[in-house]
Amino acid sequence: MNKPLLELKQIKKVFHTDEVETHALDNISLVIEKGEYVSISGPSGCGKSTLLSLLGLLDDSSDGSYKLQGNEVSSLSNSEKAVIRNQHIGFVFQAFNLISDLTVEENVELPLTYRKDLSKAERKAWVAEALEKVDMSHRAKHYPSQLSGGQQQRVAVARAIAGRPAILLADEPTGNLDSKNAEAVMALLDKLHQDGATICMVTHDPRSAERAKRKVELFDGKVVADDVTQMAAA
Amino acid sequence: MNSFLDFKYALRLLLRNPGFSLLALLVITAGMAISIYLYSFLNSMMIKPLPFAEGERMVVVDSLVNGTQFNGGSMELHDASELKSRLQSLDEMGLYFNGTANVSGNDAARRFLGTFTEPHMFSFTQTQPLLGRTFTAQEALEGAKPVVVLGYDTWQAHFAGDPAILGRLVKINGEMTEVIGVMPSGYEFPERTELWLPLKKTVLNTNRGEISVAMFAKLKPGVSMAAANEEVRSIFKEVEAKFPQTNAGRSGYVTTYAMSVQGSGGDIITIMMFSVAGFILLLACINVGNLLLARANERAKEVAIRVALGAPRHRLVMQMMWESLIICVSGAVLSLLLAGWALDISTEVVTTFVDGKPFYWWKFGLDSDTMIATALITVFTIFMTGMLPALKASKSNVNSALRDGTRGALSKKEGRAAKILVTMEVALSSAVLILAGLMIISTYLATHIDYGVQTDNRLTARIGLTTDLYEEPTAQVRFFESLKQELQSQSSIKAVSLFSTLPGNYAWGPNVRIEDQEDSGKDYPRYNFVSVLPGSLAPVGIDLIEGRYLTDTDNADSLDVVLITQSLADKYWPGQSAIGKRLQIADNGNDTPWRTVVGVIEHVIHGQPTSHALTMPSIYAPVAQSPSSFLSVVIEHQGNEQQALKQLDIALKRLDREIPAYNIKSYQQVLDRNTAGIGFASKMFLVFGVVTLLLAISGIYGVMSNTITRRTQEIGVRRALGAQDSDVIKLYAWQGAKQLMIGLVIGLGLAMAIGLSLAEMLRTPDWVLSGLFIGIPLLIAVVVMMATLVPTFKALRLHPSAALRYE
Repeated sequence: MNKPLLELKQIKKVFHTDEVETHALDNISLVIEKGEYVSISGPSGCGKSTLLSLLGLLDDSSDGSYKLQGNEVSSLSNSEKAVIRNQHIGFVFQAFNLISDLTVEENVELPLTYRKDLSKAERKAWVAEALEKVDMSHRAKHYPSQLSGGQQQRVAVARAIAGRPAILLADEPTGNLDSKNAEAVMALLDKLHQDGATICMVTHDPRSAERAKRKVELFDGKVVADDVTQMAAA
Repeated sequence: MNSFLDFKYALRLLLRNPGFSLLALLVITAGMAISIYLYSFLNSMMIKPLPFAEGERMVVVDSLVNGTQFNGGSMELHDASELKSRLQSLDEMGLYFNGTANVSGNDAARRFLGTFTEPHMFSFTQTQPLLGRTFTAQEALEGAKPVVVLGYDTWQAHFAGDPAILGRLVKINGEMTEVIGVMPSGYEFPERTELWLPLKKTVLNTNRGEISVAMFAKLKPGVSMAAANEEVRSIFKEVEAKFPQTNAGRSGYVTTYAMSVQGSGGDIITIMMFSVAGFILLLACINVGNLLLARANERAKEVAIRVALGAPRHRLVMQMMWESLIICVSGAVLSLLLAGWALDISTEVVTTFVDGKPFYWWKFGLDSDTMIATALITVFTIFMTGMLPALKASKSNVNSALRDGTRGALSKKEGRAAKILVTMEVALSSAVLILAGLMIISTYLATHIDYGVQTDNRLTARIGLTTDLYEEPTAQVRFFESLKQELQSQSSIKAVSLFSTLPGNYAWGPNVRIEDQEDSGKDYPRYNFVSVLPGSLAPVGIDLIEGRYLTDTDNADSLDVVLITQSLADKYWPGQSAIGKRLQIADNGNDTPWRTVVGVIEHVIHGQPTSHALTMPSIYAPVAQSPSSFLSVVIEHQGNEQQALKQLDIALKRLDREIPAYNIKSYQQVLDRNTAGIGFASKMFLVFGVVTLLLAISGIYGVMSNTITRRTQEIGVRRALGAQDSDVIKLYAWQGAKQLMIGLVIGLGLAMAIGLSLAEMLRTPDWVLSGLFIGIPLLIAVVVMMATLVPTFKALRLHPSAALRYE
């Protein structure tokens, strides 16, 4: 039997502020298989962004186990986590987080420059392919400030997929966009999923959540609903 | 009304952040106080016109020998007369020289600084006497009765302010002279004159080289100093062609009186000080500008709200400028107080590095020029510190600032501005630190140099034989020998030496012809030439290396002999003995006797060790063969200086009541005075250096750490994309290194442009220059790297998720 792509067991995340203890995630267990399109939703402060940070190895859990492709990753060193983020995870942020000093092409190439196993030619080819997928090749030499919000997010998606990651983590990818641009970005994610990408998206926009094949709902740090029926049906 | 509201708001913001406000105020005060003080100090010392009508046109003409400016009257009289008759660029020219005026009293004689001048000096300065009158043209003619005009202080101190002084006869340099006038208080033209005597026209009948003079004059309206200098140089060139043996290497210069007393290199030090003060002010502005910019960034959302509410752009700019205005105006007030206090101290300090009292135009204080300069500096600092925050406010992007999420990281323009700030900080601080280090180390070396003489328990004084009794050289020699015997007979006095010029002081530097050396018939090199009473060298610690010292048998009837310093022997006879070689003073043609070298002594420095004097070889001749009416005496005592002074006084009175001793100082004071001026400048540079170091460290650290802290989110993005910590560190270290290198290239270029000529002037050893040009960049590099790495490590300590959320 194939191992799940992601497997969380009894994950807890506690924040300590002065004398206040906040349980952001409380015994979360979650499995995501390769090829899934999962949305995580819930009200503000329910812990969805925290969960995404843990999935993306951007933060450490307070307790529990996290296996990625069958390997325990919660106890890895920072350096090992960086390698996993670079080669197995792609991020799309709400605020795009493109680097203003770098051109579109350079932004997309950025994660590839941290890899030792790619030649320059390979990097260029992967960048071109990613830009092609998001239809931004014609803007390769532009700087982020010269692009619209929607275009910037498409570039951010290209950057996320350029390294051919195992999973794409998107944190409110349409949160900073108008409806037209939001629709374009969601269509892009749909297409990527159809092409085989595994996507995990945090959103509180019901229309975006509807597009996912599996909907996970959080409330007060707990999974209160996990609708896998659509996936089973699919 | 709106402006008042903005002012109140800015004031409230500053008061709400006392730490920030105090830091900004201290930084700007440091920069402004140094600039204001230095401007006022140098303006009074070197730039302000003399306090006479048409003072801005008044200049002095004096001689330039082998590129070194001499002042106080060193032009050959006949050269000066020719110059005076031909110069077209100057007006109201008059010749004068400063000399000794021994005024006899009931008890003893007293020496005054007299100026022998052409009669129209007083009309030149457009100053009327307080009492009586000044000279008539007839009083400069042969046979005219001797007259004198007294300075106010001389009248008060020596004649008790006697209101009936006019017409009184006083004995000056052995001649009964009538007092015809008293000048007003503070009048000491040309420099520090205590009484004036007419320069008799008969002096023109003297031989070339016997009398040296300076010339006062006014630039003709519309004529520049450069044009006048050009004319003087061209006339001197013709004179040099006419008299190659006496005038080789001699030229002249025109400058203001204030600059003339600074000597060679005064302009370089002035330029350097102004440059350094300017750099420090700029550094302070950048630091405060950066602090305010950081504040403007924090207030981006507030500005956006104001824009959204319809605030016009100029109001936003003014809002930001008010903070700069309040900080800079407060800084200006504090700086004025500080500068005023420092100027008060300076009045006392400068007396330590001038021979005699300070020049009459050195009036340090907060004058009108300083107030105008302060106003200009304040406007400049307001503009410099407020410009970036104001620009930031005026170009703020309302939408992006008001949106909760940002597009991440530093904007491209802000990033570029930060890079420019850091590069400027590096450039300015490296330049200032190198220049300050250069000055401090050079001065330290100069003040600790070995002049080749011993100074412990040694008192010095100058004695001038100005009366008719000593016109004959034999009489002069007899007097000085008697003085030595008188003093040596005292049990408390260990030894007595007499020199025409004390080792350590600038000496006469005639052209010297060396036998059997290539001889072009002109352009002979100049070396120090000192007359010395035999038995004088060993007591001051000048060691004999070869041959013998001078003895009493080296008299007017014996073979003409000299001692030379090792530096001269090495120059002409390296690896062989100089004993028996011959040389000749070639200043007045070839008719002076050949002198045979009988001994070689260690090198002795005559003059400032930061000048050409450091390596200038010297020649010592017995006073019997090179008589001089002025000698300096060095008395080695047993620790009681007052007793030695008393015994000198008694000895002089016993020999001749009309001969006073003057310039009485310990030998160490004589040497210290050589470097007291640059020592003072050095102390200033020490302050500059410390302030610069603090500004540089805080400034570079402030700008860089602020920049990197603002890029914390970007660091989070990079880590989210898989960057290792080492990738992030390398990236920022490399970016810091690039700014460092560009800044250093500019800074080292600036330091070279100003510092190399200064190093040449101060005779700074190469190892000091190399050390500074390597050490200071290393120091700055450490600061830049710390400023880069500390905030980077701090950002890396955050979880990537926290870094991504960093505001």
